[in-house]
Amino acid sequence: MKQQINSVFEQIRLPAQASERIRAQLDMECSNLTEKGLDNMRAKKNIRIRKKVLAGVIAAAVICAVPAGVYAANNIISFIAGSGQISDGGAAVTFDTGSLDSYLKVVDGKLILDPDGEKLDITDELSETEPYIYTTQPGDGTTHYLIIGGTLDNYGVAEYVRSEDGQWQGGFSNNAMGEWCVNGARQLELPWADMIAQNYQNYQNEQQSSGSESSPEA
Amino acid sequence: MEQDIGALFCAYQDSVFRLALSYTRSVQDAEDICQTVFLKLLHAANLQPGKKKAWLMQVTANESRNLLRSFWRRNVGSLDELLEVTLPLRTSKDSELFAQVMALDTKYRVVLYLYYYEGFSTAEIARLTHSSKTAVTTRLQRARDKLKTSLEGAGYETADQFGL
Repeated sequence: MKQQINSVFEQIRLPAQASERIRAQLDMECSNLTEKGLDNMRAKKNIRIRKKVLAGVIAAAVICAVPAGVYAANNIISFIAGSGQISDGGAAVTFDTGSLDSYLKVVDGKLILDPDGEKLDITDELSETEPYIYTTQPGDGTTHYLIIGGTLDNYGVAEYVRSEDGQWQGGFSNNAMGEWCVNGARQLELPWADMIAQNYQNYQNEQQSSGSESSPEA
Repeated sequence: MEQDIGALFCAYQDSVFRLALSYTRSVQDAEDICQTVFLKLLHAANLQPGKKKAWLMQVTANESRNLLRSFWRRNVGSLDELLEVTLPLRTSKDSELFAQVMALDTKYRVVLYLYYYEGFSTAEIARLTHSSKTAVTTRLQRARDKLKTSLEGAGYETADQFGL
């Protein structure tokens, strides 16, 4: 079996075009790396673009999965972490220029939320079931809601953005599979609340399924 | 490109891609993960000599799991996933075996790849996949059984011709 599987996987290679693209990206990053630049880049993390949703073929899936009208047409959302989302009303592309620890991280055993220089200690607010919801207005008319929960060892955040006219624009989550996120989505009455709850239910089922494998089969 | 990064990219780009593909079943996502992992390597400081492959595989596994758990992935999937993974392989038998491996659940695909192709021990796979050794052993056994059953179900009278 080993031989057969090896023979198959040996033929699976990173496509040449992608390899060249990544190599070029690494070249570019390397050329920018001075001693000072290295320090800065370690802090900033990398820029990555990932297609999450594609127009056309995917559009039907999007319409099924997300209630119509949750994206404003030709909308660009900037999230607190620097991540963003562009949508055209039927499909969305998300991109990521930052990371969770740029504004939420454990420091000396405390969970510090620092979205705009406030450095809030929210350790005591952290719960696996009840969300901590932080609201901020960056000044562009939108309101950003951060739902935070979990434990010090395994915390997560989901961010949802509402426009001036009260319409939900979109969201972004990081390690947000938890009851706290489901409850937070319900408290905010997000249009995706039921979907988030269903995702969490599916995730729990998968976890239970994985856990049951530890016992020998009958 | 710095020589070290260039050499590591040449040596491990396919391993990283294969592991990401085993998790995501999406060529596009696997390429993205590959890029992310090597950019992280570029910015990672003080990796121990001889531990770089282990680091790459661990980061690839983490990135892949994060992607699978992400809000958008869980709700809309990707174009590659809808079209299924299609990569040119030498023989129809290889294509059939690859298709059947990719049709297995993620947890089975990943352990098959890591154990048989990469040669990791069950303990190493347990660390990479955040599972117990027992769970990895069980998954390997079930993966073999499921692969044999699916190949026979696909019309092959016996899976022996695949060495199963």
